[in-house]
Amino acid sequence: MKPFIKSLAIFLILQAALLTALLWFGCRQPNSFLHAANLKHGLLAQATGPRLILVGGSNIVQGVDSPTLKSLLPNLEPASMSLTMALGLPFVLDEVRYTIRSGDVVVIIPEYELLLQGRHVSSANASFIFEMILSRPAVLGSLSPRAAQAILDGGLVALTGQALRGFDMEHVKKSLPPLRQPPALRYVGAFNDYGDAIWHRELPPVPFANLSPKPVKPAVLAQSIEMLNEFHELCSSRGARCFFHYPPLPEPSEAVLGMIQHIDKALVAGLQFPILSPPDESFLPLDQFHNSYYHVSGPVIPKRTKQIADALRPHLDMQR
Amino acid sequence: MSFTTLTFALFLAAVFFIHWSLRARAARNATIVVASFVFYSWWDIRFACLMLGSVTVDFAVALAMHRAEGQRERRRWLLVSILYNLSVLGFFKYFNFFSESLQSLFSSLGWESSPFLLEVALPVGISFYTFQSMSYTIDVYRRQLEPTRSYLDYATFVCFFPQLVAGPIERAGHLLGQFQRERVFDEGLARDGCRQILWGVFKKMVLADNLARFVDQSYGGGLANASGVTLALATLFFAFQIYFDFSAYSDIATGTAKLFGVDLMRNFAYPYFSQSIPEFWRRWHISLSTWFRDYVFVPLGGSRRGKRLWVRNIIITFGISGLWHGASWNFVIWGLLNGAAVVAWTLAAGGKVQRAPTFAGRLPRMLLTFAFINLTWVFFRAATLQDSVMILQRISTDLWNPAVWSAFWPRLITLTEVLVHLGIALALEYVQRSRVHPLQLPPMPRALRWLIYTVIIFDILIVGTRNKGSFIYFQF
Repeated sequence: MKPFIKSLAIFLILQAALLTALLWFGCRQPNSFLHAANLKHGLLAQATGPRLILVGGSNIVQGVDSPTLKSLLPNLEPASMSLTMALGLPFVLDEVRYTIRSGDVVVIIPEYELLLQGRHVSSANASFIFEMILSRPAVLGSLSPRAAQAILDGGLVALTGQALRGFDMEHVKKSLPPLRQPPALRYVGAFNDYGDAIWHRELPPVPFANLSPKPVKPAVLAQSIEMLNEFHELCSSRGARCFFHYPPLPEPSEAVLGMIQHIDKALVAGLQFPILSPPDESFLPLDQFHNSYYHVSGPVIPKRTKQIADALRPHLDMQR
Repeated sequence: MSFTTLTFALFLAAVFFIHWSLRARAARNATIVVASFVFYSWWDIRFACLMLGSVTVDFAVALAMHRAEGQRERRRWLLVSILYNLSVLGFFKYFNFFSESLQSLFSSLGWESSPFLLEVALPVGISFYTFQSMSYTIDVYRRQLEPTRSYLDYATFVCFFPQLVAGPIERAGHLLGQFQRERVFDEGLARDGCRQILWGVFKKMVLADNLARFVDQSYGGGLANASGVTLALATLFFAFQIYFDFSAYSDIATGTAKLFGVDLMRNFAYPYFSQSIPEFWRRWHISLSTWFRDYVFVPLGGSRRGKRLWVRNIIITFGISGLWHGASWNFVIWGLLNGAAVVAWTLAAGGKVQRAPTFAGRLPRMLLTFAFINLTWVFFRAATLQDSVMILQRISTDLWNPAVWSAFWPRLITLTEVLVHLGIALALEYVQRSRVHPLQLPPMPRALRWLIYTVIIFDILIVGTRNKGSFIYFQF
């Protein structure tokens, strides 16, 4: 049996080495916007004092200005850890889970879709996580078994194939809000030193469809709340504090409002940590958004940042 | 858990190491049973309990039958087994079909009623393991087999995870004995198993799943607007899709079994190279065809009671075989059409097996056989009987229309990649048709063999599609 195992092991190692080399040297996109994760984790590690960690999707990276936040909350070192909601709620929580330390303040601002996803890691999430692994291999260390399984069962083979074909993720992108900007603008050069996206701040708004109502499955929503509470428990056990905030949204339709109220009711009843403000306080006029219903336009970013800081301040003062 | 996921690869590696690290036969069998339950529970743990029910009932029935003194009592025990298995199958698979059919019958008689339908999920592989388990009690009843006194051995036989979900449907006479003997690791067998798995994964991910995209689009949402040419190509693609899909499952199952020193029966013998319909049915889904031959056709009288009864028995057997595939009249018609073709072909050939010695002689026969089989796949794939008829009508009118062809041509160009792969795979299978699978290569330096495997692996990576690993025959 030993010769068989030895032979098989050598063969598999050769295949893995060949594949890794191909992916690393041929397919890794040095300009992928997910490379910004390296920048963000670097900031997180360098900060000496207590940090203000923002966790969520693109509503944060495109809608919060960290220098403004720092000036409004000078005792905290802002670290915007978000990139895209396409990574899924389990991943965005897992990614920062291991970095939390005493004194940190974590504000979770998940998009509504993330709350309706529960623990499920979709194949679209798996695609982005896989791209993230290529951009930041250290992510492998924080991958949950569920996310790992999603990547395996979603077809790591197929994902690798996509990578080998040059990240042909058009079918994934089609299911996401349209990104009208030229591709080059999505890359690393489009972020400031704090990891906030800045490429879009000067651009005029483009038309987009507002959030459409999604079915709210109570069991799935309960899973999301459970995940958030688990994250909060971890923060508490490490001496950090956790808060929830709603994402910005253009004035919603009645159907969407019903969905949001349903979610809010469940969060109010189930979350074991404070919600900074009700969802309607994050509703803004449609013309204050840039290219998607979560992306506030450049001139509105300071206002949105101040909104978060103002909502957080009383809780910080209370602590003091 | 499906064969084409890396989760399965990790699972298989773990089971392989645990299995061979244990020395006692019982411990190895127990490992297989536990692994099989984990594998099956991945879909739904309730399904695993249902399977355990079949195992327990048939194991107990076989022993009771063996202890029974008279033939009448033996028959009674056999009836218990058959009734139990068919009831389970009937409840989960056929209840709604018969309820709807009964309601249609009442409507045609002027009695309007709404059918009583059950909302139950069909347990994966139920048709396969119930048939396998039932064959055991029938063999014991026929005194062709001594019942096993080991529940563990029997559970290993029924639940063996590589072939649990979609066959091959094994016979106790072939498989159970292998679990009752000490198994020794056979390096040659294991190496061959790995090659067969690789070929199976290639067929599934590169061919079947890529062909499925076009087929699903044409037969599914696009059916209303699809031209006859599109539907003809979709039917042709479906013929290859179902072959590569199902034979891929069998290859992966057989290859996986080889890693455990277990030899499963051959399920496919390059059926599309058959030169007649009867030959096709000797080479397609062999384990099911032989099951129906031994447990339906032969008990009905087979060919022993004259030509007329032989015709009746063939038609009944194929009709039931069609129904086995799914609870729909489409499958029944598909089965009956094939049965009729077997009868017609056999009568036309005068009962002789006719095989041409040269390729030029074989090709027209192969094409004719393939064309007929293709025609019947329309009934197999279409959602309803009306759809089947509509598809055949549209094909028959559009196929001769040059305007439809010219409109279709640009679409055909987009299918170049899959067509090239299809051509290569078929050529390879034809050249290697005397071997169990095409990767049983002639002697050559290891570096060259590994290079071939590497090319196949990277082809899977690049061309393989992101299907979640569901095989067509899971639904049966």
